[in-house]
Amino acid sequence: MATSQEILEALADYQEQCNSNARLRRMQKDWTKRLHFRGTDTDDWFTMVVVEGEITEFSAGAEGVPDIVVHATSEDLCDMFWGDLNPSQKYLRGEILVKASPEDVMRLDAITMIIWPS
Amino acid sequence: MTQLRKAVGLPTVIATSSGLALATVSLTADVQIGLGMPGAAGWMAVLAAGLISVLASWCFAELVGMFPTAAGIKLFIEKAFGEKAALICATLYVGITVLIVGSESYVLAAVLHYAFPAVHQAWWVFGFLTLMALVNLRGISITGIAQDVATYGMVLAVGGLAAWALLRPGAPPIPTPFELGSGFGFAQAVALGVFLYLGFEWVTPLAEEVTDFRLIPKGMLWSLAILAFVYGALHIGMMTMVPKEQLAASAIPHVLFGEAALGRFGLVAMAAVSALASITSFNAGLLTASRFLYAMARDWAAPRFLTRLHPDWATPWAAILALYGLCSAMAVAVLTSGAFKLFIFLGAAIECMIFVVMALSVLRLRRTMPDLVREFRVPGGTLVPWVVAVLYSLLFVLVFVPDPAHPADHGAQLGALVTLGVVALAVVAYVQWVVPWLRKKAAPAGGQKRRRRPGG
Repeated sequence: MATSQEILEALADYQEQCNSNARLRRMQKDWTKRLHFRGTDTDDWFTMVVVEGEITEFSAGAEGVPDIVVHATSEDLCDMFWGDLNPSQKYLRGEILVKASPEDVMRLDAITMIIWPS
Repeated sequence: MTQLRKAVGLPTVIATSSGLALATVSLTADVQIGLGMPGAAGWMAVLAAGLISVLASWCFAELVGMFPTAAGIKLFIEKAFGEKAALICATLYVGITVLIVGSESYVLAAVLHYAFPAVHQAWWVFGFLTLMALVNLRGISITGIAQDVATYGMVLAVGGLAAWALLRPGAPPIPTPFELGSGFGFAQAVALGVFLYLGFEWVTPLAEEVTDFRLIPKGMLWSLAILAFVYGALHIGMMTMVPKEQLAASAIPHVLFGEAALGRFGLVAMAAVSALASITSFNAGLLTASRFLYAMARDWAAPRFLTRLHPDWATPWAAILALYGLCSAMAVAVLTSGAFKLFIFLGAAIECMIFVVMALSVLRLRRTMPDLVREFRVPGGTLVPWVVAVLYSLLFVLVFVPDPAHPADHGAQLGALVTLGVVALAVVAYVQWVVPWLRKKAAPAGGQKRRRRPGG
């Protein structure tokens, strides 16, 4: 089980990886969304704001009305943000649940695909 | 649970479900199902197929209530019968659905060529396929209000035209609307009638977007009712206004009906309905199939190049182009052979198959995961899933049984059976040998990967 602090550290790294990736920034330049993440085992919530492809802020708690909600175990969230886990595989097995439009699900997966291609 | 900013409501669930099933080739198939029945009595087979589809929709609703994800059908089967079975069934289902595109584009091209003869049919086929591929490549999907307008517009146009043709002063009498004919003829008509509803269940991925999960089963129910009305009314209209022999020999019977009912205006109206029907169903179909292919590649179950994304639009361009190639090849095959009816039989069979698999999944998961929360439970214990499994198994067989009264269809039935067999064997071989090879190839890279998480 990952703590809230561990997930926030993972999110900080994720923000750095995403924002410094020129290819990803180009691809997501028209993507502005508010995301909520929930650790299903801890019931911890996190908010991330993406503005034109740039992660501008993230924080603990569910703030504002989201465009996308991701439900996963705290361990999976942490591993996902560190790039140690292929979220597509977990999603296809129903272990990660996403509430969003198909386009946004695709965009979400594209981020991981670009910054951690393997 | 927090609500999404843009959540989907009931009208859009209904429109999406109906729009996916309402394709141009379905309008053609609407005639096909009535050929073995007297007069215009085929509407009863349309209705019967719709009614039993309600039972199948309940099975889908129970499964999607347990696993509300766009990964849908593959996931349901995987939870019930394991990954190999899931890969085989889902790939076969999506693959056959893609093959039907050849027939869809052929019929649409025939419609447009009939309305605008100056443009050759082949140009319409490739123009349509290319347009759809580009739209998908650009990431444009027909959703929300656009889907609502398109679907309800088609329903009103077809329903209105049929009502005008049948109810106006001096309208011809409906030929034998209540005479069932032979039991075999009716049963086979119901089996083919399943094709008319093909795709209504593709609405289940909307479980990720709805305000309330119960909108999915409710939406599917309304959608089936609307489809039954549209196909039933159109069937009666066509059988009343156009000689049966002429309808049977045509790829565009609905256009002949439009022309017979309202002249040039009716012809153009039905051509517009066809174009809209093809665009909505094909757009969603290509979107779903390309994402399915992409997801398989991400899961190392398909070649890795299929994960390639467009640098600006984040769309899986390699998967879209691969499907575009396959659809074009199918379109050429249908265009040169004219064998579009084969795909009606094939579509009906694959839909029956997937309903059987879904019903068996419900039964299996009731035993293996009895405590998992079910947002919707099929009423009547295990009776309904058993009825669905047995009934659709019988209908599956009936699709291929030759009707002595219609020797002209025997070739199409045999062709459908052979195609299904060949594709099924290819899919089984792929899952049995190619997927493990792809994953084995991927394993060393994954195994050597250093974890980035501190202390992980």
